[in-house]
This record gives sequence, C-alpha cells and structure tokens, in this order.
Amino acid sequence: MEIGYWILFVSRFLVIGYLKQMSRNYFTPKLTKLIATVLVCVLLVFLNPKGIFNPARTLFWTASYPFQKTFYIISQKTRNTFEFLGSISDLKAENENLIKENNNLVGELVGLKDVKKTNENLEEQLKLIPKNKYDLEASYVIGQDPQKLGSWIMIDKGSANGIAPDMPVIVGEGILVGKTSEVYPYSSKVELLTSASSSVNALDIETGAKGLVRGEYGLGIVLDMVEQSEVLNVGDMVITSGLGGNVGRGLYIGAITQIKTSDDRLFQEAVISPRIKYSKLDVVFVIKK
Amino acid sequence: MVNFFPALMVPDVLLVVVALWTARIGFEKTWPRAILAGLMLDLIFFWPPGVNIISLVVVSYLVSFLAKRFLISQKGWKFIFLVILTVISTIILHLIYYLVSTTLLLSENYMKMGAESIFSIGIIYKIMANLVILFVVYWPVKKVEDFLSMFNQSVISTKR
Repeated sequence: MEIGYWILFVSRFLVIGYLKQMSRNYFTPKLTKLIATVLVCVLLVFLNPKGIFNPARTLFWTASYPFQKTFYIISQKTRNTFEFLGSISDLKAENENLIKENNNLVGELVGLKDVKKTNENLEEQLKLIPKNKYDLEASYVIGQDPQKLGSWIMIDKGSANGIAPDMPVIVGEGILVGKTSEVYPYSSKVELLTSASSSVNALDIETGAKGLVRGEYGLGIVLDMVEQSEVLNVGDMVITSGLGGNVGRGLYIGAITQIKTSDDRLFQEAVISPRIKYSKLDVVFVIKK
Repeated sequence: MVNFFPALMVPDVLLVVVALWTARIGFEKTWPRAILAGLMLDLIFFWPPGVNIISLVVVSYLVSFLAKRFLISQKGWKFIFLVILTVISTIILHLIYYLVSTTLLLSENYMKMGAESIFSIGIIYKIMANLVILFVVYWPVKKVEDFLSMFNQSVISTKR
C-alpha cells in the first residue's frame, strides 16, 4: 500500500514535467500567435452584430471612394472594349436583326401612343405616383460584390446628397433594382433584388395576386408567399405593391417565367426574370421622395 | 478588378500575395500583414471583421509550415512549389470560409453561397484565376522584398 502511494507521488511529478516539456515543444510562439489570432477573431465575428466595426467601415469607404470610382470606370471601359473586340464577328448578323426589329417597332409605336393616354388615366385612377414626380438622385455605379454573387453594388452618392437607408433604387422609367442598405458620406451600398437578404412586397399586375419578392443568392428573383387561391400566369408582369416599407407602388420588377408550389405546399412561388442585367449597370436613380 | 473577370473567376489577390510573402520572409513577419489584409477584405466584402483575418492567418501559418519542410533552394523547384502552395492555399481559404459560415454565421446566406463553390467546379476556376495572379505578382513582390532588404542593410551599415 505504501509503495503504491510512493509510486503515485513520484509519477505525478513525472507527468507534470512531461506536460511542461510538451507545451514547450508544441506551443511555439508561432502557434501561440495563430491560436490567439483565431480566438480574438472568433470573438470579433460574434460581436460584429452589435456594429462595433461600423465606424471603421465608414472611414474605409469614405477614404477609398475617389480611388474606387476611378478604377471602376476604367475597368468598365476596358471590359467594354474587350467585349466589343470579341463580338465583332457577331455584329453583322446583329445589325440585320436590329434593322428588322426597328421596322417592327415603328409599327408598334403608332399603336402605343393610344395606350399611353389610357395609361395616364389608369395611373390617376389607381393612384400610382407619376414617374415625373419622383425626387430622383442620379448616381454612378462605382463597385459591385467582389464575390460576383449579384448581391450588391456601390453607388457614388451618400448621406451628403440626401441619401438614406431603405430608399428604392431604379433604372430607366421605373424598373426597381434594389434598395439602399448602408449609407456613407459619399457612397452607398445598394442591396439588389437578387440578394438573399432582399424582400419587397409585390403583386401580379394582370391578376392582382400579392406576394413577397425575394432574391436567390444573386441567381434570380422569386415571388413567394402567394396564396394558393391566387392566380399567376407565365408572362405576367410583377410590380411593387407599395404595401409596408418605403417602396412605392408601380415600380416594375420583372416578368414571371415559371410557377411552382413552395416546399411546404402552402403557397405558390413564381420565378421572375429581371428586366436588366445587374452586372451591366452604369447609372441608377435613387428615389428620395 | 471585379469587372475584368467573369463570375467564379475573381482571383484572391491578397491570398496569393500573403502566401508569397510567407514563403519568402516567414510567418513571423507576414502575420501582421495577413491581419491587415484580412481586415481590408472583410471591409470590402461587407463581411463581419474577423472572417478573412482568420482565413489569411491560418493560410499563412500552413504555408510557413510547408515552406520550411519542402522549399528547395533551386530556383526552378521553388516556383513549382509556389504553384502547389497557391493551389493548396486556395482550397484551404474556401474551406475555412465554408466552415466559418456554417458554424458561426448561419444567417449570412450569401457567405455560405460563395463558400460552397469549394464543392463545385467553381473551385477549379478560382485556382486557375489565382495561378494567373501568382504569375503576375511573383516578380514584383520579389523585387519589392529585395529592395526592402537592400534598403534595410544600407540603413544598418550607415548607422555603424
């Protein structure tokens, strides 16, 4: 029994000595730095939801704005040049198609003049905001999601120009592309409709079916949460419904290309084809009022 | 930079630069630069600060671990080893993105989407894009480091 106690007593010192030797061998300064960095960063990732790095981010985007705008415009022009050189062989065929299309469009234009008048009457009846009454802020696109996920773009206007978060962003005659999400003094981040965190109340203009338009990781847009009793048709146009939030009614989103049932079979879903390609955006308009 | 490259082929320029620095000057001197580069990437990507810092520091450590064991002094073999390091670094970086996004940031779906390219052909495109960047930045980084070491030596000899 006593021998057992002595063995335990001596072996305790041997084990402690071995562990100390092991820690000297394995926990080198390099490994210690790595572990310390990883632990601190994991803490930072958890703390970030409280927005502690927002001042650093604001400073970064304010300082980088002049360089970002310049380099983005240069890169756009360079890309367009390369695309042009690559498409020379297709130009002749495209030219012939465009001439035919132009002739058809002239004929359509005559009929559309009548439709325009009817549309103005309908706008008044449905209380849609006339496009020429928007307070628009024109902005150049100066950056986009580096991961190419079609989630967001940067524009060259910020709080100094009266931009605030959650303002709708359009192109052309009222085609919605997204909403401002983060605003810095001279630039703003615009969350595109194809972003997974984007959601806009919308309706089918033909049938009146209401739903929620959300993005799918930059790949497309889906009109979700449409009740089974509502009617959706392929080809129908989808516009903003103006319900909740700051996005007014009547902004065009896209056309339905596919209809399916949600996984839980409670709602219908419609895949929407956006009117424009977000990676080609140059100029957008922020609706301030 | 984003506009020059098609989707899935946007190279990880800072990853290649950090891997090159580590292979040349070691983890001890590259560690602060990796932290700065990671922080900048997190600010640019609008990701929570810390994600890219973890990724680049871990990649730098692993590159240093491999470089000390396998880097051969002959110039030809050194470049081939750097090519292999770039491939391994790209895979490890995107694996870390995936692990971080699935374990820590379940609500950040966009990150998970980008990180899931490791399980698709997207990772091949990323590796190809990073190898192009390796060829582009290898000699400039080498020249900058040679210049800085010559500058330091001349400063030290002047002080003596």
